[in-house]
Amino acid sequence: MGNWIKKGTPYLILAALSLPLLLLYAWLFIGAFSPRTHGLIPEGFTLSNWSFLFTPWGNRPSIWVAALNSTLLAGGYTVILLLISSTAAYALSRLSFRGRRFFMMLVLVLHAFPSITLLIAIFYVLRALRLYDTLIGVALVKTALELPLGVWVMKGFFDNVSWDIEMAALIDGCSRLQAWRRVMIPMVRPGIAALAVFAFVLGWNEFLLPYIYMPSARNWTLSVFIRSVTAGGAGEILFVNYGVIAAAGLFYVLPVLLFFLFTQRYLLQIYAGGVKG
Amino acid sequence: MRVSIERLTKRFGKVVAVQDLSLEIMDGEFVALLGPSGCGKTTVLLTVAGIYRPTHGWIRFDGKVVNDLPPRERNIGMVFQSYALYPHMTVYENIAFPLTLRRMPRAEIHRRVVAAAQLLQIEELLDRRPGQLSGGQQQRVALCRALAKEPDLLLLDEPLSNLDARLRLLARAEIKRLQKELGITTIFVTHDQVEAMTMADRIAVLNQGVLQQFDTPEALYTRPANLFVAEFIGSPPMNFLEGSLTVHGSALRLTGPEWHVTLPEGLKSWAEAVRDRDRLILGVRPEHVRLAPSEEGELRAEVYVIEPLGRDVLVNLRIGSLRLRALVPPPFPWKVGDIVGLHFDPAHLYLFDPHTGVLIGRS
Ligand SMILES: Nc1ncnc2c1ncn2[C@@H]1O[C@H](COP(=O)(O)OP(=O)(O)O)[C@@H](O)[C@H]1O
Ligand SMILES: [Mg+2]
Repeated sequence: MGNWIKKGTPYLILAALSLPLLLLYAWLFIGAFSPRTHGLIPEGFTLSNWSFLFTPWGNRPSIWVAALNSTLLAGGYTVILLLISSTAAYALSRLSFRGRRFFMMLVLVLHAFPSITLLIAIFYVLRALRLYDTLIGVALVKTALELPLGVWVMKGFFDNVSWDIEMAALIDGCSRLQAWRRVMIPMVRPGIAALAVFAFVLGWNEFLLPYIYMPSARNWTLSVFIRSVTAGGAGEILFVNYGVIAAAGLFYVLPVLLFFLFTQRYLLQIYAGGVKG
Repeated sequence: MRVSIERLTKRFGKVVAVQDLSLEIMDGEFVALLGPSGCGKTTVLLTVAGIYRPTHGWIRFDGKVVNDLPPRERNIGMVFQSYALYPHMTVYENIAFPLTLRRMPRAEIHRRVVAAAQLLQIEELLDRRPGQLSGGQQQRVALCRALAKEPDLLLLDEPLSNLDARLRLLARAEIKRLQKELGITTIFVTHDQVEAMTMADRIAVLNQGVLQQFDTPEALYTRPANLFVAEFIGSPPMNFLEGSLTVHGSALRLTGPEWHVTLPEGLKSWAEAVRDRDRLILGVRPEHVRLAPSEEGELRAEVYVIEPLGRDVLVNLRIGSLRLRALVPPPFPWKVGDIVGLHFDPAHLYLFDPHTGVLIGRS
């Protein structure tokens, strides 16, 4: 009996804490498939909330364009982040060069730096580079802001690969670059997978950057699209249909939920990889 | 391939890992680097392999300085203490990896991998991954990977230290046989003097990065250059008795607090030459200590611990604060607490200088 309480208590606490979240998700599901709800009680069943999938919503571009933009942004940002993190982290973990310690400190400081203070400066940089209002521009900004984290996480994974393995590769005939590509990268693959999942979800959820730096409707990502629905578009009389918003919200989170379900195993590795100095 | 290490010094910041080491290793020779953990053995290997650059000194292969040659151009096979197998590759891919990097034709790679696998009897493991292998199997795969390259030089860093005692014995004989069969110049690192003694043609004994002696196993045993080698080589280690030299008529005696030993003829002349030293250390191996009834011996000691080893009995004795070990044939007629007499075999005694540790002479 005492044992049962001991084992059950953490679950009880967790359940209590997640209840508000669960209720929100429940509302999202119920609301998306009924014309009206009273609290959590639906009033019949309908698919009409989902009509935005086939017909344009007001004068907005199709939601599929926004979905594509979100995918491109999250995917592009993930790829760039992985490329830079895995090379930079290798250098920080394995090469000795002037200013290595300083650079590592800098990475940590930047990781803690509130990036929102950079918004205006970034705007000028994007304008100067003619990347304002482009997907690649926002992807680069997002990469830059998340790089400290990515580098730090990947460095932890590289630190955990024994020197012997890398030395063996060098003696077996690899150049340093070959050793990195053919031996080190495969050995930190769990780290790369974890970072990829983490970054993709982060990119998918990103709202502020695309909202500020990609004002054109053709560049909208899903997050910006949904905001425009709740806030009303230009010249639109605001008539909030919660059913439709729930459906659009569900459309937005569903890929992430599925993604999580299949990749949570990798995500947990971020912590398993360990972060060492 | 002939390997020369000339006046090699390697520092890591302030730590001097290897100091002024010179070794000349002949073509086809099996040399062991022997020393306690942390004495710089691995550093020497990795410097020879080209992973570390010497701080001072030169490495030569067949007379040519290779200090600037990257590891991949040295054609070296190396087995690490951790084996360092690539976990994401199968055993076959592990062995083939060095060959693929050389852009060898596929058929030739296959031929070599299979031949090497046969040599080490691991053909049935080729499809497995390193994670699915036992320690002994991993060790064989690592050795196989090193040999399949047909290297000019084989470097082995404590390859047996992660095996259990029985496997270690087997692997010891196996590596020795392979080395002789293939005739590859080999440097073998170990902290286990039995391994070094049984396997190597010559042994370089290192202590704190400094070479103590480089000689055949027999010479290390019979003519240790100093106290460190004398203590490190031979198991159980040599007994040391520190005392001062006193003259009794025509005899010379080494006198300690509760004992004295008359030096045999063979040691006398050596002792004469260093009469000005206030103190000397007498060395005698446990196998050269004889036990006798208490009234017969030159020294009298108390039996302290008795350790039967099967073929011999290892007896721990004490004379006051002095501890001695004797290795005697069974049966052992005394029991703990008994007083026994001791003789030292006069043909196998050593004299050392206690300040420098250097061997002064032996009988
Ligand atoms: N890469 C390194 N960086 C700093 N110090 C090292 C490095 N490798 C070895 N050392 C130091 O050099 C000494 C010799 O080490 P090592 O060659 O590994 O000894 P052994 O193999 O005989 O146990 C040790 O004091 C060790 O701490
Ligand atoms: Mg070592």
